[in-house]
Amino acid sequence: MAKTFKELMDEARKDVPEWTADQVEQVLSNGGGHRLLDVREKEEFRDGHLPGALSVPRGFLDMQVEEVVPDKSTPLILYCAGGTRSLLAGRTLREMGYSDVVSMSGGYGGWKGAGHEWVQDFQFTPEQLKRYSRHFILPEVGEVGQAKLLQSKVLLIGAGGLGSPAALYLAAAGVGTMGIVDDDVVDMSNLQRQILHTNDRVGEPKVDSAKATINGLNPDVNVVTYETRVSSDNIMDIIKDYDVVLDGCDNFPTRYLVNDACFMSGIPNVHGSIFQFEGQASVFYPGRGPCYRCLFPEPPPPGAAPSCQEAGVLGVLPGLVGSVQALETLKILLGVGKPLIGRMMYFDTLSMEVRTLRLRRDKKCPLCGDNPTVTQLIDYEEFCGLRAPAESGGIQAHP
Amino acid sequence: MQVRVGLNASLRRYIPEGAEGSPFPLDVSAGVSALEILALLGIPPERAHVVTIDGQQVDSDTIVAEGQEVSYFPPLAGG
Ligand SMILES: [Zn+2]
Repeated sequence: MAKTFKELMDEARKDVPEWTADQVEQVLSNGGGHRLLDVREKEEFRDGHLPGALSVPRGFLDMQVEEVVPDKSTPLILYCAGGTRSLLAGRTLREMGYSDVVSMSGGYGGWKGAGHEWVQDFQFTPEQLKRYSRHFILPEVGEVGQAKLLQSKVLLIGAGGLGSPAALYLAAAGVGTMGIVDDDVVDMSNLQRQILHTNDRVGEPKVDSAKATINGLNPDVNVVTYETRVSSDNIMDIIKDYDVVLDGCDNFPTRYLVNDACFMSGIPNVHGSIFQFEGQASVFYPGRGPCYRCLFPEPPPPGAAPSCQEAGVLGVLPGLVGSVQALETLKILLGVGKPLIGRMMYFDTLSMEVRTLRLRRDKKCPLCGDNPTVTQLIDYEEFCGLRAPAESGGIQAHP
Repeated sequence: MQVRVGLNASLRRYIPEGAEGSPFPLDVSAGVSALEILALLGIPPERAHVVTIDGQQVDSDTIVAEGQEVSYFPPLAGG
């Protein structure tokens, strides 16, 4: 015989005890090991929920609950808006073999009415819910991860070959704040590979061109431009508010400067560099692996490692390496996977051999080694042999 | 004995004539170090930079064994 709604509810009550908001609050604050499941719709959950609650909408409950709570002896507390959906959901869980299921009478409304603590997750706009929908589906990102990205700050050193693809992909992924340091203007010869810039912006500052492209792609991104060159005088102040620094510069003094400043500030430095048909990428994470100086304690003699301007570079190559840098940056921001710490990805695109070298921290590293000698920023032009050492104060050189 | 030698980026110009790119096979005497192999190829020692044996970074005075691949990676300037 068909059952009335009232009969269904009465039956459910036999299997599923009901606790008041006060009872639930007491049990949770005693840390009884209960899992809290919110069976309302996602939109209701987004508006606010109990701290620590997992969202499993009732419509997906039977399909998803075994993933979320594999152990069927786990004590569960269910709630909805008013106490009806959670009671019926509780019955379903009992039928599925969950042995300890409680429903909160009065639901979320009752909880709030009783003055207990509630939290609200990051509020996405309807456009953001669409824009990042492919991220939301990934359990490793989800709404929590996307909120993290939108609240993250990444500093790009250079808006050139590597900075271009990195900036585009990080912007698309919804990194909320992107700082860009570059003192150059767009040159026609950049357009063969620097995909942030366009023909009609030749002669404009690269940072302005970068900002226009990034915001054209994703208006969510707050682009902070620094039309300057990083130097020992300004870098500590520029990088201090950023979560990750992405090094896409084109010269050795800046690479050592960025490395040292990141190490001293405890900020991960996602490194990429290129030459003709070859490229390398690694993550220098202070305290967790080697730094740039562990690999290259001494800069190459001037002229021994020519720049793209001097030696040429294949147009697509920076796209490959800069994209790896963007990906590593996302992994660090999200805290997922295994970043390229202590490893270097090396691309030889002519043979299309990609190798991952295992690096080691150098105990004798002048920066991150056991007895460091570089404890403050130095003169990097001089260090790289690009400028004669300054004469020490007052002492005249021999004529 | 024979080892394989990888010369990358700006070191490629030291690849011996007749070798088909990098890595290439090289006959060396037993007990030779990574740095000594560099000298055999006429490459200044200060250009050793990152040295790997079979993909693992090593000190440049590490002895290379028969059949191993020793590679040299200079820093790359470009961005
Ligand atoms: Zn180091």
